[in-house]
Amino acid sequence: MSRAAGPGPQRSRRLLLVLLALLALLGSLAAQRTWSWVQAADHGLQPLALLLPDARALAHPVTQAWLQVAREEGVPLTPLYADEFLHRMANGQRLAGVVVPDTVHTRASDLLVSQLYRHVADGGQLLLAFDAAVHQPQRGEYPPGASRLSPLVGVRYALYQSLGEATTVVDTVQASRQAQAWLGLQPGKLDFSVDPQGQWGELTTYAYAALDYSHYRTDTPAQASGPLQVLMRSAGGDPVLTLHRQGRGQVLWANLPLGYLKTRTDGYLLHRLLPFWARTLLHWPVLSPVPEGVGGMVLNLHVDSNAAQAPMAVLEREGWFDQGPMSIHVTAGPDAIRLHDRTGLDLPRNQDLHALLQRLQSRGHELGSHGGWIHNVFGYGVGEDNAQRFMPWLVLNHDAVSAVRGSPVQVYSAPMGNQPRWVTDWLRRENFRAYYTTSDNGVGPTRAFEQGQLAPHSALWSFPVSSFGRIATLDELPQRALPEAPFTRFMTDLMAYTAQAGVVRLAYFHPATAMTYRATLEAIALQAQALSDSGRFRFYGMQALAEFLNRREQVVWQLHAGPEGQRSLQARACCAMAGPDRPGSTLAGMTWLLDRAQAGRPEVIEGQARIEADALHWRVIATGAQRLHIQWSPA
Amino acid sequence: MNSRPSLQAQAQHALHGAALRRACEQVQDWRMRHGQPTADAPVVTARHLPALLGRLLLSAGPALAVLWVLQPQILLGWLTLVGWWCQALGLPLQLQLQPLPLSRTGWLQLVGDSPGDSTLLPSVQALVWTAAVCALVWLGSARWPDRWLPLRVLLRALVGVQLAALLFVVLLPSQFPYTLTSHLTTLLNLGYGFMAVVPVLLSLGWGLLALPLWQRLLVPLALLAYLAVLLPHKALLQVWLLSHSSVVHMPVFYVALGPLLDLMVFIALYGWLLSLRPQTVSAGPGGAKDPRP
Repeated sequence: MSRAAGPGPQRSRRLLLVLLALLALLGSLAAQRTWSWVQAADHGLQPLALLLPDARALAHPVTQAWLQVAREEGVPLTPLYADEFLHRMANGQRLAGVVVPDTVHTRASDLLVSQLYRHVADGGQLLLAFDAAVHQPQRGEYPPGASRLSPLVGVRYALYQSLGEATTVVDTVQASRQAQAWLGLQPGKLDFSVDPQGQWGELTTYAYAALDYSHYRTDTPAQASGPLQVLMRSAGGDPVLTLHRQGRGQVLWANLPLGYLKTRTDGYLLHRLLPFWARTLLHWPVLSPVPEGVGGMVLNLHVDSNAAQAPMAVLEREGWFDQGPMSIHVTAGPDAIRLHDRTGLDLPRNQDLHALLQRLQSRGHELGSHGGWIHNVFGYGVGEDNAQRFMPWLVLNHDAVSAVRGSPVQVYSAPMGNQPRWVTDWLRRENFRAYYTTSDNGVGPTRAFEQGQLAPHSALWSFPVSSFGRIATLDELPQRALPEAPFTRFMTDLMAYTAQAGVVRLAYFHPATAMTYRATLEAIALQAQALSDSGRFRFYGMQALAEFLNRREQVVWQLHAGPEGQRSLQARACCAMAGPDRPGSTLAGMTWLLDRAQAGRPEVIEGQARIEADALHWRVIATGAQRLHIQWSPA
Repeated sequence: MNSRPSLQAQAQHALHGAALRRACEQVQDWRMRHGQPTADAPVVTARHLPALLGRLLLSAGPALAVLWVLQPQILLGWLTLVGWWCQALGLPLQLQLQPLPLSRTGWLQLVGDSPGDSTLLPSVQALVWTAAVCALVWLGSARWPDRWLPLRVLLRALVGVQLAALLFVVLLPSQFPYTLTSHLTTLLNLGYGFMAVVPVLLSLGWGLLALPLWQRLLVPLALLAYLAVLLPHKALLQVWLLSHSSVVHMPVFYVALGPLLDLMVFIALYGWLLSLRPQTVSAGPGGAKDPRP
């Protein structure tokens, strides 16, 4: 009897054990989650969160774009998964700001959406990008009517039920004068001639007649419970950037796929929006993207034919090169436009130019390589599939300029802006630090995205050119039948902008035209002098700035909340910065900007720093040491 | 000729053995000897079919027609009721009446329009308390006497649902698909769907009986009227309870107070209606007669 009854109870016991083991596993997972929320409450100030659906989204290029831009703009944005966000909300841990990115976080449950409402109602700031949280979670469909976030945004959008395939349209976008001031849109980026009243300017970029963006068609304002400000709009009238006050919080909605655009080399708006959100709306401290918080300009000279030599000599004689450093990039071959036309600089045999460049270098100017030996032939001819033909030209040019420099040059610019991927790979292999680029127009030095992916990590930075509308340099004025004066004003305005905003922008010109546009060059020199005298402007070399940015990338910093509203900031130079070949393994030059309206004068608790004040900020400039600890009280 | 036993015989043999097969054979034999129809004979003959269909239609048709015609009024009435109660209870819920997606027939549904409602997520303390209460109920019910077994089974089933919900909310809260508003709209839309099924269910059982016409017409309507009042209040009760607890209890409330309870209410009413049937009825379809004297 007992043998016959044996297998039944045994099976039951096994099943029970398996069930218990499963329960224990789930229980331990749950306990670990629960413990992590309890601990999170003690982590100091709640971060600015990039809300992601789950861990898989972290590797998505668009997520990388948001995080990379945040790092470059000094905004401490931290990835936060939706589950963790909900747990924080459940436990009353208020977040100061939440970003819901485009493309990677399109699906959201009603519960998650309801907690975004609660976050804003409780006084939080929310930045929503394009299709963030517009789809329902199960099948990824648009909800009936409009986006569930429409009342929060103040505009009805994602109207798939009524518009179908016309839910999104492509159009140019315009920014208001107010948006230009608030977002810090730089001179030359907006074309106000499109608006008879001159109040709205069309967003432009270098060389393209029109810059079209995909965006949602919108409907009448949706139960806007607070003031709604339209900062940008499409030419068709749809709001493209809005600010809506709701409850005690605010919602900044960008009706554009900002992260996706960054992965497609148009990161300007993301680069402007994130710092605006963090600094102006959240009054959050940021890490300045420039040494000591001093803005400035990379002035990139493309010396590409023998027509440039005489004007260079004149400029030197007249003291134009007394300021600097300028970044002087040379095409070294004997020809410039066609093979054997003998219009090149022929640097290896050109002793006068050799001497001129060495004199300039000795005065602190930077030498770089401008493409591949014969300017136009290389610029027009180089492509993705002809590395075999043009690689030797690239090497020849590099060797020729390096011979003048006395060491391998580490900065590069592409003739015609034409830079195939293999050239970028070669720059990376040859340990270059920086290159000029026509992509990401108007942005400061940035990590490039190639074919939609963040470029492999290296010391190489791309330096996008800034443009005056659809042109970027003096040579292009005749093609567009434009007078010199507006361009001159653009250059001086751009320099003033970099000083005021504490950013770096790159402008370029060809010295061959220097004699034609002397007024502009003189204005640049005068403006640089005036701004430098006030201590708010510098010229930067590409290599030095790239090396600063490489050091800056290794800085780890965090904000903490103390008693009675006290705040503190702790930073350290990460160990990766240390080493015999890295002399700058301290925080020297790193600068944090604190909003004076929110913060009293900071006090250095640990490390070395000096505190300066300008109209809007406390500037905490680290002067050495690997660690810095400052604290301040509310203003 | 194939001498193999039929599939039914094989199954009976396999399942129950020879004893049951013998019992079946004896029943068949008794039916043959007493002139009763065998299992293969039709229950309803063609002669009775029109009368049967008439009873079915009379029991379900008028109620369904009223439900169809008054759908907007019923749902608007629910909207008004929900609005009044939400104001009285301080619940920030907003519902709207919209055409059913892809419906060109005019069917309507209630849609929640306020993702900013006060849906509460459970805090760590609430989760710990819930787990503790679940454990207490589970362990405590083990000591109950055997006569309480049905209650124990029911409570433990609810504890199982609650623990599953707790794990889900701990591990994957962002995947939890409902808010208070969507829960309420789901319950109300399901409730209306249930009301549409009730006349059909009623007619397939109670409706087959020989009943006075007024009963056949009015009872389904009265049942619908009762449900039209009960269902929104039951849904509101859930939402009110949830607004004082959190979403972690939503599944257990759904199981305990949702469609399952509706079905149980229907079964209770159905049983009550059957108990009210007339003492004598005429011969029904298929020759069935009231066995009572």
